[in-house]
Amino acid sequence: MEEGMISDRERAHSYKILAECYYRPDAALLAALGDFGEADGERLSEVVRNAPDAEDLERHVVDYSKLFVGPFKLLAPPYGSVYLEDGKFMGDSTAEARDLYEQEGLGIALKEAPDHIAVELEFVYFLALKEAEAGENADRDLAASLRDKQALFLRTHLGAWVEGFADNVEMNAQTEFYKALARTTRRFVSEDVDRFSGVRANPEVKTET
Amino acid sequence: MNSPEEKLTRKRFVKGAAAAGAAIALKSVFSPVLRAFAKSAGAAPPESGQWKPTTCQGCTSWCSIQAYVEDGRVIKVRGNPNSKVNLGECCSKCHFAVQQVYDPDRIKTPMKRTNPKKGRNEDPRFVPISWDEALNTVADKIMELRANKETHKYMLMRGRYSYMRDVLYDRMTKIIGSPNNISHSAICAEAEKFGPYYTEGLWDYRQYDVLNARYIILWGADPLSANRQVSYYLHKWGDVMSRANIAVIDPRLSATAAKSDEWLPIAPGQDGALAVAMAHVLLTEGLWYKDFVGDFTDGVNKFIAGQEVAEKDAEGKPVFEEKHTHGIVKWWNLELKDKTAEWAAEKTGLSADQIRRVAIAYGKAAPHAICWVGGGPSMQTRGGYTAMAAHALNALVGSVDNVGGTLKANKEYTLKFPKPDAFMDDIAKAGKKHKKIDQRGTKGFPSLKKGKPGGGVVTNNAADGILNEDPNEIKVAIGYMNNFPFSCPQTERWERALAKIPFVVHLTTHAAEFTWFADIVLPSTHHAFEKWGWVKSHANGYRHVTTLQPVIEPVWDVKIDETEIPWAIAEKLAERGFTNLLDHYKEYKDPETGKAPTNEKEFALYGLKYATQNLWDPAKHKGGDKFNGWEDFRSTGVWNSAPYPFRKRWSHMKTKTKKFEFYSETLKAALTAHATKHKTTVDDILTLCNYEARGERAFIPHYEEPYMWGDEAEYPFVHVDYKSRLNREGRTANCTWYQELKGLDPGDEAWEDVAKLNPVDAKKLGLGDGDRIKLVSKTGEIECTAKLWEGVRPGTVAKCYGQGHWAYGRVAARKYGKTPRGGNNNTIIPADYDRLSGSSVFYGVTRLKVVKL
Repeated sequence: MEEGMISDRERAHSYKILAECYYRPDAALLAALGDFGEADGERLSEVVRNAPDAEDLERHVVDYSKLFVGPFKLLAPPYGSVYLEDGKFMGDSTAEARDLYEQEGLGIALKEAPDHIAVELEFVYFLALKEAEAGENADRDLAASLRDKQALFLRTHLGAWVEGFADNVEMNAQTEFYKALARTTRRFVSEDVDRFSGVRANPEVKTET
Repeated sequence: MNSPEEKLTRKRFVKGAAAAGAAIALKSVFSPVLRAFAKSAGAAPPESGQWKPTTCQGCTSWCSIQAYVEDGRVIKVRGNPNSKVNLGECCSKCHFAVQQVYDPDRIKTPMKRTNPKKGRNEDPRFVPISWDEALNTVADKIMELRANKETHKYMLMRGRYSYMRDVLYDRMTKIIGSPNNISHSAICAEAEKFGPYYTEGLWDYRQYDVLNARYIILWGADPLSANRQVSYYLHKWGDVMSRANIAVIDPRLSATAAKSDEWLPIAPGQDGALAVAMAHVLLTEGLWYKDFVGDFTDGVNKFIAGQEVAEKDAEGKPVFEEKHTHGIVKWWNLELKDKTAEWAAEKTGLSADQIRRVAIAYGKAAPHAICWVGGGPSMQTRGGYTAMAAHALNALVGSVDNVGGTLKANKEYTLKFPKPDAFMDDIAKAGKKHKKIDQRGTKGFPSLKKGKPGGGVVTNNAADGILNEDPNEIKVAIGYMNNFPFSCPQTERWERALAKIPFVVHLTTHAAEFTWFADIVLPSTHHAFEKWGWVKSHANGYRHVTTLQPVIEPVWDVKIDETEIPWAIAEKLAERGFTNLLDHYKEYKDPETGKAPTNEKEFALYGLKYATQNLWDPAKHKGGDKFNGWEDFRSTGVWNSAPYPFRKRWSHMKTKTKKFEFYSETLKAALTAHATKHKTTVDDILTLCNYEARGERAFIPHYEEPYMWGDEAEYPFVHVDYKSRLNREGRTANCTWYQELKGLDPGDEAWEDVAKLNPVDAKKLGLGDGDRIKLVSKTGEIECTAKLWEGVRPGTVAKCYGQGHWAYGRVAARKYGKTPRGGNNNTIIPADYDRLSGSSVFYGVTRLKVVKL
């Protein structure tokens, strides 16, 4: 591992943390973020630093609801197709994301759309963790294939709409936590898009980094 | 250094895992902890697209449709070719259902209000909660009413519905113990039904045998846009135009007027004058249809303008021998003899020539001539009498129940749900005995549905009942598929009324103005694609019963409003020791297996199978399409009746005399019963209810001056409200297609809410296209955009209903939470009524001034 770079497992784990932040905030999330010291990763530090106290939870639940749940106008629709298909929900890109999950043997377990931000972040977590495992088992082919899958997914899905989504969150959030989450999500995903941009996205053609 | 995972794992282990924490707690093994995903069996072979049957409730046409479902997603829709009513056709409204079901602004999960204050300027601060918490809260509130023996303070408000409605609307309300199930019907078109009921005993919308008609007069009906069976009439209108002459009476050039032979741009509210004048012309010209109405015994027409006709000759024999009608001479003497075309020309602003020309051509086409009476002339103060007068023109030409005429619905054989009586305990029985919150049947609200005083709802007056706690306060209210603070005239009353109710629940697909005042919001299925249900409708000489089916798995955590949610509430009530509702619901057994439902899903399906058994069970077949069983019916999606039996009702009508009544003995009995109940006279009732008729004229179709709100000097214009060909009963404003295509309504503009003024008027006001204006009435004001258009009668301002949402989704408002897109017509329309029918009034009632901004 190069100097200054986070480990593959840390990277995977960060996706998981980000994914969890897009569920309705509760005591368990606060506890987990509270346990997650700044030293544990600069990449998430802004989110961790702005995590609410238990007393301030309700204000954050209201903010969360207005941004991602509604009712009335959804301030930051957390759905890929809304950004990729000109406001459409459950579009072709949604079906495509679901197909990619199914190719990995994953079905949606939530009452939510397959291109919900939490689902897409968790999918990258899943692939990244598998990649880390392959790397540690010195299975270079598998690791490369999993990197290609991440590259493809980040390029055509999550990375393709995270900007517009994060802009909406940052613009409309009333709490620092969600503003920080937006910035962190945008930066984290964009960096990975850049990181993978040198990687051939075609899973048939495996390349080394 | 501990890795974050190890640290989390250790702490979590000590604390005990909770949902999110457990998911985050990654062990140093590689098995990922998944929350959004479950392992699937692997990539399922992609399901190829399939057309699945269901129903469109975008308007009350209730077309049987098919949805094209690919990999669990609805892609597109079309008419169901198995229906003999809509014949494989569907209209523009149907397609919007796809945008509705996949609207990111939909309600996704139960929510609760966290701001206890209620009001237009109070953000409800909704937050998501579990179904369990939501249902527990609702059940606790109902149990509190029961414990305090004040179940009459429970209220159910119903908007649009399927015929599964009685599960929630009727049975649940009764078994809890309240009289207060309040439907939307009186903001729909009850006054329109008043006309055929008090003439031919039919409290219903009619179907029209347009293909066999040779003359059609549309009274404020615009079937190529709205009203009923839009897709059928759109499909056939070319044929109709080539066979019949069509005249449209409307102050506005409607979509149908644009596809007609003659447009009569009548002054708003004067339809009754035109109707009685046309009757006058038909009689003086001797154009009544003798085989239906009969004739003078000596064959000489004594209907001469200005002259009374003696009912009996010197020997006491009737001078006019009626066949299938009652009271033609009385009608002439009491109303028609002086109502010449010239008299009506003064009132209506139409020429006497045009009135005569249309009446004579209509009469010459007898009996294949139709007067199609829509909501326009009926939903006015005093409009019930106009509906009678315009409908009576069908009897004069003998087209009632005749080929090329106006028909009732064909017979169908669905079943009612089990009776609730045995499950109503003493608390429920006592609660139900209280008076209803809409004040129907009180002295000033006769609401004479089907001949019964207080027989019909007075929807919009429920707001005043709630505000004045008259007859009592309301403590717990549930609303479903409704939006009364938007859809009822003088909207601000509903805002105050809902804010006053301590606990309000809204069952809906989308949050709207009603939701703004809710304490609990329960996400409901979209009727077209996610719900079990059935509806019936008629056109083309047939009736169909078409099923609503869950053709997709809903994306979000929604339940069926009319079945699954009441079942879930019943379970919660049972947990609290009140099992009656659940015990009742368990009686809705699957007719195929005899099995009682054990959960909400089974209940929803069994309920539908129960209600429709006579249609699909070959052993129970009574008529119409025959099926091999449930699956055969379900996969077809629709049952069709037998063809229409013409003229079967001649002299067998459900009136007091069995005849078509020009002198309504049926209305006389109803009005007398209401007056007797309040120990007064019919004249006193009519005075109190703001009608002009006194004495015998109360019982005949007659002209009454329109009653408008606002002084003409201050409010020089009359508002003309109408419905869009794109609007799914006011539920389309959040669809981008609606806004993009709004220009398809004659005179309207995309992404705008335009008030149409005649250029003559606009010039006087110094207004041009695109100017921002304010429409001000006695009861409210709204902002919109001016549009100069020759298609409106000078002196009127036409503006479509449907825009002006201040609480809805991202598309419906121009700037969400700040600026509505245009204005809601119901803000400026006063809360007034045609009190005999209980109808709210939308047309010919609102005077306006136009202010340039």
